[in-house]
Amino acid sequence: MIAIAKRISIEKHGIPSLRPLLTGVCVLCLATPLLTAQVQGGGAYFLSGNTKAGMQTFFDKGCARCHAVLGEGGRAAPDLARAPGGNLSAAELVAGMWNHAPAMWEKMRLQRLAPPKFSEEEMTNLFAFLYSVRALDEPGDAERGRRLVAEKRCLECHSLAGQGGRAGPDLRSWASYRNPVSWIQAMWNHAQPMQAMMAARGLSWPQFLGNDMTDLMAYIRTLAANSKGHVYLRQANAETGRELFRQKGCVSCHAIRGAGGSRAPDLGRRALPRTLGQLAGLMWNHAPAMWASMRAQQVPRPQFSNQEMADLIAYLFAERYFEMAGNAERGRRRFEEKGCAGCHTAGAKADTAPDLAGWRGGGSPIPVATALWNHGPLMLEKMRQQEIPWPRFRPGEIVDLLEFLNRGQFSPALAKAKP
Amino acid sequence: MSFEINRRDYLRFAAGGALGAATSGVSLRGLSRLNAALASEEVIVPGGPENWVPSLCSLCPAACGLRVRTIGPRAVRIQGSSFHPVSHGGLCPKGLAGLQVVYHPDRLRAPLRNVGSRKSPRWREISWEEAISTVAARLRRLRGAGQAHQVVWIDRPERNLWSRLVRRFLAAYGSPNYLTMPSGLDAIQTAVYLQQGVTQPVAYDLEGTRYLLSFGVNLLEGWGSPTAVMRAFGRWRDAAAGRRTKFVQIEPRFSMTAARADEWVALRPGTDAAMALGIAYVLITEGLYDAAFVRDHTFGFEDWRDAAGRTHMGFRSLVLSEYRLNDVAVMTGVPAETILRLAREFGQNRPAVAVGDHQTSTLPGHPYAAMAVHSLNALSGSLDTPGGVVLQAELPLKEEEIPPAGKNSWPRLDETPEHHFPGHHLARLPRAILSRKPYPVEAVLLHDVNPVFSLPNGEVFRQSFQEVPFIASFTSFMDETSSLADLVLPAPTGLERWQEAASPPAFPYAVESISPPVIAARHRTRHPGDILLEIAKFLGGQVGAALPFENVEAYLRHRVGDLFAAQTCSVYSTRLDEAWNRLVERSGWWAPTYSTADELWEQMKERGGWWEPTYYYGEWERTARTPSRRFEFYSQTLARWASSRPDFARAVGLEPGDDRLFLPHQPPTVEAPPGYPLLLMPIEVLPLAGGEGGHLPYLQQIAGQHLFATWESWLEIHPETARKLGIRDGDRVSVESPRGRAQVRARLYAGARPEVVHLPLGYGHTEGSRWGRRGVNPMALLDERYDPVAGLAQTSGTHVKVYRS
Ligand code: SF4
Repeated sequence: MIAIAKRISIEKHGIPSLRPLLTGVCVLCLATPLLTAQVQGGGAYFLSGNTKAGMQTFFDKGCARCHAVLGEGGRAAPDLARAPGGNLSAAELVAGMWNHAPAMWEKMRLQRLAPPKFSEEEMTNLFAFLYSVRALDEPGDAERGRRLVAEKRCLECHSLAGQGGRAGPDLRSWASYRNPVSWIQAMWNHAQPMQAMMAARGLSWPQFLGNDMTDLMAYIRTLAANSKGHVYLRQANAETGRELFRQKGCVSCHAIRGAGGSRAPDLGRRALPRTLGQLAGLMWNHAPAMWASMRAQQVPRPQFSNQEMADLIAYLFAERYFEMAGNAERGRRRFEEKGCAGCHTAGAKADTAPDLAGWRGGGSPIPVATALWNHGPLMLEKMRQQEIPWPRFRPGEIVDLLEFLNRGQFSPALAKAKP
Repeated sequence: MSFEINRRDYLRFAAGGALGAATSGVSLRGLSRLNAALASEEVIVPGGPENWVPSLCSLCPAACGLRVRTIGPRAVRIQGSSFHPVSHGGLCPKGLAGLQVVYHPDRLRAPLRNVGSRKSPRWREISWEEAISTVAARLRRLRGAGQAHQVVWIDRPERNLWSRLVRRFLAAYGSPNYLTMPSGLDAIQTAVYLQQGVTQPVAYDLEGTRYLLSFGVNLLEGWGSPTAVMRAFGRWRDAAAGRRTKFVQIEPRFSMTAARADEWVALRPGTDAAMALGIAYVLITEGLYDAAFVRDHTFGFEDWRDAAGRTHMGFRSLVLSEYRLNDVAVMTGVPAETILRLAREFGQNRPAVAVGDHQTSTLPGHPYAAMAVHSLNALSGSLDTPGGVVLQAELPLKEEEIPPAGKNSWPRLDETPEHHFPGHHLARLPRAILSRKPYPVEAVLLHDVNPVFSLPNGEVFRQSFQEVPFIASFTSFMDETSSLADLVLPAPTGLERWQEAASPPAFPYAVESISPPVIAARHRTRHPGDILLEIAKFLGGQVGAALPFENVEAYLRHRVGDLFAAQTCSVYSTRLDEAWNRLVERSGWWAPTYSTADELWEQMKERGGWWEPTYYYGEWERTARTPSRRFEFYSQTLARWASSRPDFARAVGLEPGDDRLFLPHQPPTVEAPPGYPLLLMPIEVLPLAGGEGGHLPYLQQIAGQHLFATWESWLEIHPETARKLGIRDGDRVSVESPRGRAQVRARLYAGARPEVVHLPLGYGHTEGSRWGRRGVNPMALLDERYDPVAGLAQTSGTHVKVYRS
C-alpha cells in the first residue's frame, strides 16, 4: 500500500524536482510523526502505525458514527473513502473538510453531539488514515465484471471456464491474485505478444477505468473453484518506487512537478484516480502510446516484478499527498477576498481571532484542519453574529493561502481594521 | 472404582474460580451448596510470581481465547482474551468454570490398566512406559498380521491439526477407521452437501444478517461457537450503529433462546420442514424471492426434463401443491397470518438467513427439514453473501502425501465412504463389531469421547465393546466408555498442555489457535499427541516416517511453517488491527507483523493464533459443486446416490420414482404408541452444552436457572398436563419409554407444550466425577431412530408416559 509514511528529507532527496516540496507545506509536515514514520521494521508496516492510529482517532472521535470508510461505519454522511472521487492531496482533504464543516456541526448539534477536538498529532494520523484508505481498491462487483468481459472482448483470446479463445491463458489461473496491481503487472509484462495478437485480430486496446479491473477480478473469482490461495501484494515502499522511477527510465519521459523528462505528462501535476489499482489501470491504458514513444527513442520497454509495480505506484501516490507549493501572492489575495483579513488582524487578541502571523513557517493542512475543528464552531458562531458568510475554498486556494501564511508576509497593512 | 481425593487442592483453586466468575459479571444465583462446603475449609493462597498467560478454553469446540492469571505454579483466574477473533474477550459460563477442571478432585492421576474384566473392571496404576509399550506392541502385532485396518480410532468431530495428525497416523498405519462423534450441524451439513455439492463446513455470517429465522436451533445455548453467536446477538441490537436485526425463534419449547429472541413462534414438534415450505409458499406466490438468483444460480426450482425426456417436479410445483398456507397452518399449528407475516418479513429484509432445522451442539435435525430450511436461503439469495450462509474458509495447509500402507482399500466400519454424505454414522459401529462384518475389530482407541453415554444406542456400544479384544482411552476423567477399556491414558487438562484449535463450528473465517501449557501437569498425565508420536516412532518404518516429530510442540511448529508459507492473514490482534487488516486485505494487500516462520510462531504463542479476517463472498464455483454447478432444490446428488439403493424410497416412506424423494419435504412425524402419550424431547442448556460439564459444580449450580433447578436433572412438563396427571411442581416422577425408565423431579413449565416433556442432556453419569452422577441421562430412554438419508440419530421422536413415583 501507499507509503505516505515515506521519509522525506532534504539530504535524501536525489531528484531535484522534489525540492520544491520541501518548502511550504512539506517542511512543516516533516515535524509530524506521520511523515517521519518508518516504513519498515519495528512492526510498523507500509501503512504506518500512525495510519492505524488515525483509524483509531476516526472511531474514537465519533467520525465513524456518521461517516463510513469503505462501508465500515455510519451511513448518515458520505463514505470518506469513496467521496469525493479522485485522488485528494492533504490540501484537498482539508478544503473538503473546511467547506463541509458548518453542515457537519449543524448535524451534530441536532444530534446533541459536541464537535470533537483534535491534537495536531491526532489530525496528522487521521489524515494519514483517510489518505491511505482512499487509495485502497474495493472488492469488485462480479455482475458488472461479467458484462465487462463481454464488452472488452477478453474472450476473443482468453478462455474462461471453458469458453472463449485459446490464445491467452485461462483467466481463472489468475483468480488467486487479489490485487489489481498484480493483474496489471502480469498483463504489462505480457503485453508485447498481446499487442501483436490484438492487432492481428483487429481488437482495440482495452481500457480499464474506475473499478473495471476489480469488477473483472470479482467476476473471474466467481468462476474459480480453488479458494485456497490468496496472493496478496506485500507492503509497497515509496522510497524504492522513487528509485525504480529512475532506474526503469520513467524519469526520462515523465517529470514529477517539472523535474524529469518532458515528452510525457508530468505525473506530479496530472489528476490521479482514487485508488492504487486504478492508477495501475491508467498506466495500462496509456501503454501503447508509451511504448510507441519508447520505440521511437529506442528505449526498451521496462518489465516489472509484482512488487516493483506496487512500489512504483506507491511512490506516485505518496508524491501526491504533498500538494505542490502554492503561490504566496495568490494566497494573499485569497486572504483578502475570502474575508479572513477582516478578523485575523495583526496583533489580534484571543477574543477576536488570532493573529495568523504566528503561523509563519507552520501553515500546513494539518494545523489548519486542527484549528478548524478546535476553534471552528466558535468562529462560525461569531461569523453568524456578524453576518459574515463561511468562506469556501478550492484546494488550490488552500495551498496558496498556506504558502502565504508560511512566508509570514501577513502584515497589518493587509488587514482592514475591524468595523 | 475409587481414587484418592485431594480436597485441599480443589479448594485452593475454587476461591480463584469464584472470583473470576463474579468479576466477569455472570450471575451466580446461590452458590450456596458449594460455598457452604468451602466455608469451613482453610483456603491456601498460593505464593510465587504473578503472570497473565494466554491460553485456550478446552470445554467446547469454540476454543475461546483465555488470559490465565498464574501465581507461582498455579492458575488462579481465567478471563477472556480480547485478541481472540471468535470470542473477543467473551467467555460463556462453562469457560469460567475452566479452573474447576484443572483442580477437580476426580481427575485421573496416572495410567490405569484394567486387571479385572470388562464387566467388573479393577484398576491398577501403571507406569507410562508400560502403558505406551502395551499400546504400541498391540498395534505392531496387528499391523504385522495384516490387521491394521481392524484398528478403530474414535474422536471428536473436529477438523484441526490434531485430527490431521491422527488421520496421518492411521493412513500410514493402514486403517481407514478414523470415526468421529456426531455433531449438531450434521443435518445442515448434509443439506449443504446435497444441495450445494460441497463437504466444507457450513458457516453463517450472523453478525451481518438483518433477519434471522431460526428453526429450533438453540443459538444462544451452546450451538456453533457460543461466544461468537452471543457477540452477533449483541450486534443485532447495537443501537449506536443504527442496526436492528430481527431474530425469530421457531420451536415448540420456550427455550432460553426463544426467550431472548424478538419473537417466538411455537410450532408442533417435528414440523419444521412444513413451516419452512409454508414460508417458501408465500415467498413464491407473492414474488418475494430473489428471482435473479434463482434463475442464475439454482436448479430444480421449475419442473424440468431429464436426458431421457422424463419430466420432474420442481420445487415451485411441490410447494404450491402441497404446502399451501392453510395446510401448513394445520400441520404446524402456527396461525396462517403468522406464517404470512414472517414470510413477508423474511422476503423484504436483506440479508435474511434461515438456520435449522432443530439442532443443538450435538443433536442434528432431519436432512429433509434442513434442505427445506436451506432452500429459504436460496430463495432469498443469501448463499455466499455478506450476512448469509457461507462455507468455512480452509486453512492454507500443505497436504502431504502419505505412502499407501499395504492394502488400504478396506471399507470404513461406519459404512461411510470418505467424502460421501457428511453425516456421521458412528452409530453403525456396534453392528459391525458384533457381526464381525465386513471384518472384525481388534482394537478401539478413544480420544476424549464417550459414545456409551452420549449416543442413543450407548447401551449397544457397551455390549459391542465387550467383544473388542483391546481398547485404550485417552481422557482426563473416567467415563462410561473408558471404563470398558483395557488401558486408560490420562490426558492433561487444557491449561496443562499444548493446545490448538482450528475454525470453530459455523464460524466463517479460517482460524488456527495455538497455546503452550500455562502450568505444569498436575498429575502423571501426558499429552495424547506426544503418546501418538512416541508410538509412531516405536512402529517405525512408514508410520515413523510419516510422523517424524519429536513431540506435539514440534508438530505444531511444523504446521505453522505452512501458515507462514501461505503468505496471507495475520496474527490475532486488537479489534482495530483486525478492522484495518480486513480493509487492507480486501483490497489485495498484505501487511504481516512477522517476516519469518519463527517470528510467526512466537507471535502466535503470545497472541493466541493466526487467522484470515477476510471472507471472499460470491465465489460461486467454490460454493456450488453439484452436477448442475448450481444450488439444487432438486438434489441430483441424492438421486444418483439413491439410484443404486432400491430400498431407499421405502425407507423414506414414498414410492420409487416419486420426485419428492429428492426435494425438501416434510418427513412423517412419529405417532405415539399406545400407552405412551407424551413426546420426550431432550434439551441442551448452555452450562451443559454438548451434554458435557456435569462434572463441574459451578455448572451444576447454574444449569437449570430458568426453573431454579440445580444439582440434578429435571423433567419440564406443562402445568395443565401435570394437573391431569396429578403431578405437582417438585414431585418425583417416573418417565418411562418403551426402552427404559428413569426417576426425576418434575418441574412445571408453561414454556413446554402440553403434549411434550423435556429432559436436559448432560446428567446421569454412572462413572467419573461425583457431581456428574446426579440426575438421569435421557439418551437411555430414547428410541434408536435414524433418518434414511444420512443415518443421523433422530432424538426427538420418542414417546413416554409420566407418572408419580
Ligand atoms: S464457548 Fe466454549 S470455548 Fe468458549 S468459553 Fe464457553 S465452553 Fe469455553
